[in-house]
Amino acid sequence: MIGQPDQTRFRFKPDPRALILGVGLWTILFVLMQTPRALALAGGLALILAKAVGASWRTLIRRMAALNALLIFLLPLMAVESFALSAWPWRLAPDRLILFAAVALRANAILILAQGLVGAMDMATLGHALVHLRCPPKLAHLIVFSARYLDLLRHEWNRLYRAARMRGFRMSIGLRTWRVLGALVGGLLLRSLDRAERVLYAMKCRGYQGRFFMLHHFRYTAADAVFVLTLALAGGIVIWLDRM
Amino acid sequence: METLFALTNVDFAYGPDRPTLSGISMTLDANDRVALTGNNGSGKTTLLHALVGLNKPQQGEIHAFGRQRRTEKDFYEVRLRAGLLFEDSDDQLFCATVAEDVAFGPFNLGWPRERVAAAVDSTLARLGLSHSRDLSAAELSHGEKRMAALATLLAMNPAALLLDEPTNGMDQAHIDVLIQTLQDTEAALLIASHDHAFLKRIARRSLRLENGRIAS
Repeated sequence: MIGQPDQTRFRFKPDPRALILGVGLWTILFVLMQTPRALALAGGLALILAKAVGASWRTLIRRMAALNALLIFLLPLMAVESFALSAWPWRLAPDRLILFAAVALRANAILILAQGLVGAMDMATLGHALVHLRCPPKLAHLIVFSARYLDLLRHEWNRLYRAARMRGFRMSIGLRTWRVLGALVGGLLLRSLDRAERVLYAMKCRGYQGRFFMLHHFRYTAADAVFVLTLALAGGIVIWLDRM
Repeated sequence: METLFALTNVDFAYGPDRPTLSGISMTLDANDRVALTGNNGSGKTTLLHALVGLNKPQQGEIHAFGRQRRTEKDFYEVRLRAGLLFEDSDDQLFCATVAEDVAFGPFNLGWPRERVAAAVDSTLARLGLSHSRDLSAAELSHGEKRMAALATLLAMNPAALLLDEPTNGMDQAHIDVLIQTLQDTEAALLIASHDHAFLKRIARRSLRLENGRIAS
């Protein structure tokens, strides 16, 4: 899962850059596809791929549950003939149902792909891979810094919130709750600003002049090239099926 | 003996009503090992930060490594030669992994990649941190974080180490490694700490700050 460090860091196979390229490519293909059968096939392939690189069923199912709960709310909006109270009972329109199915399949397929492939690497690896893929360094470093300091922010929030609870604070409906929460969030913000300044100091102290160097280099192997090619080929076949 | 730092009559205030350092004059020589003591709020951290130009004094002069240092540009070189250990290691370990953090300074020194990699390996080995090279700082214990932060400084071969409460939150095993490391280093040491047992084993002389003045 993103943000959760694991021991396989930097020993990820295939090369993280190949994964990101593959996911980017397939996401574009998923958007281009129209027919449910092609999308279902693509979703199935994405699932196989995600499992092959070690995504866990639990995370996948949890994410998909959240997405599909949202989609159920969209169902009446998208798939009935007339979405008006006077038209009750609503009748499903077959052509719109197909459109809805396509949207649902596409959303699920992209989620599986992103969660399974990119989500299985931690943010540090993701940031590194993005730098090496010539993504703007500022953006990539933002990801690396977020990975490092989001966790610290969570700890700080827990500390503040625990301190409030220790003195009898309980969430309730009312102005006081909002005021306390406001103070806590404000405190967190101020601490973060202080932290940011001290981190900048620490960077300056070690000679930072606006350039970030990377110690670790990924190794792009022939297997990675084959991996990307296979993805592209499979994508081409699915697109061809879609257009038939 | 070569004088690395020489301060004359340095005054610093965070604001008009918050004078923090007043009339500080001190020197730090090569091979010097100085304990910096004083109560909370006596100005220890402020003084350490002033030495590397994170605070710019309103009055007085700072000479470092043979030149007077006044501007941000002047202090750039000072920071490459004097390592400051921050009070909170989480501020200092900002990279994704410990190894990247240790490599950050050497890269900025312009060392070639092989030399950086060698410095990272040897520094981590020296401090007993080789096992955590690919870990994120979030996964380290408090003592390991302190040691990792120290590693980021030592990898740059500093001529002086300015340490702000180095033993804070450290267990005895880590303190022993720290003492050994500091005894072995050739860098001049200025150590702000409340840990008198620790200071006793390292420092050869001491400075005491009281309300921003040097008391002894």
